[in-house]
Amino acid sequence: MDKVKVIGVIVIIAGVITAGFVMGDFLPAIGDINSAPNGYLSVYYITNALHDTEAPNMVTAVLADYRGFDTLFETCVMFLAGVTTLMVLSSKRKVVKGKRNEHDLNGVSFGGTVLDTGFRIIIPVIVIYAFYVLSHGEISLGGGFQAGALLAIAYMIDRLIPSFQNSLGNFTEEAAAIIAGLGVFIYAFTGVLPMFNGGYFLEYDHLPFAFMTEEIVMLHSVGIFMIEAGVTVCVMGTIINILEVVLERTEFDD
Amino acid sequence: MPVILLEAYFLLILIAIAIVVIFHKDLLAVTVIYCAFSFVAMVLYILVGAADVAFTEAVIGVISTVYFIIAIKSISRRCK
Repeated sequence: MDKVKVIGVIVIIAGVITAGFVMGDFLPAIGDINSAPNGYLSVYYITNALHDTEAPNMVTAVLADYRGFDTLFETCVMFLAGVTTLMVLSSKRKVVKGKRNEHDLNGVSFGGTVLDTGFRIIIPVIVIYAFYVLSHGEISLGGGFQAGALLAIAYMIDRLIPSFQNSLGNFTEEAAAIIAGLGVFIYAFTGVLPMFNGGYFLEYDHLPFAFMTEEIVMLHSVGIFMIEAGVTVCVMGTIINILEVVLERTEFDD
Repeated sequence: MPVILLEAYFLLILIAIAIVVIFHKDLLAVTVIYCAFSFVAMVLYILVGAADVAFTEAVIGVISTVYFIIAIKSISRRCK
């Protein structure tokens, strides 16, 4: 067994190094002007992204606006991952459902005074930072995925430290899966809304909020914020779902 | 040019961490070392200029660590 591991590691390292030397001649360097993606598409994004979408962060502009259809199905993939985990892992439950809450509180051996106090201080900061990342996502770093993951981290800490007694509430895994599905619904509904107003799917120019803003470009900001909120809810629900499913199957006996 | 040297240095660290993760016997130690993998990958992304991806990597590193620790608690900590 061990010999197989050694041989495998050697083969993989040799293969990666050889492939690096071989491919190094074919692959373009980072930022090479003559490579295919930098030919016309990047130039178009760089010159027009701010004007088209009102989003100073170009990554958000491309992900949520130009490539919004791709991001919709990436969100669907997240949701499907959570639902698949629920289907596969929840078939054999080790813990009886009625006793579960008390069992988890007694069993988990994280904790201690220093850890508790530290996390008490840090959880509100994490939640505030998550909402900052969500609402500021089109201007600086971040966006829906990161905000949802930060919210899920806050929930995870709350769930795993026993003396907190689940002050943020206690999701069942089915509820978490429903929340994830709600996120996908928000995204898809944002896509459908312009169709009532004479536009195409996910065409933010035709969102029916024109009475709120003077300029038509600001509708892009509204649309980007709505789909990022959907992605946030979906990611948070999926991560909490997987956490709850795994906790359901785990016995904490020590 | 120094940036490329720095990238090569961090890539070598990545390979070293991966080898340690494969061969170490204590799964909890492996999880902590995998945190270092996540951190070094994050620094690499920042060096390449992809700050959004680096942010995602930092957040996902925390979440995957928690998942691994919960999974280790349900199995034996030492592996054969």
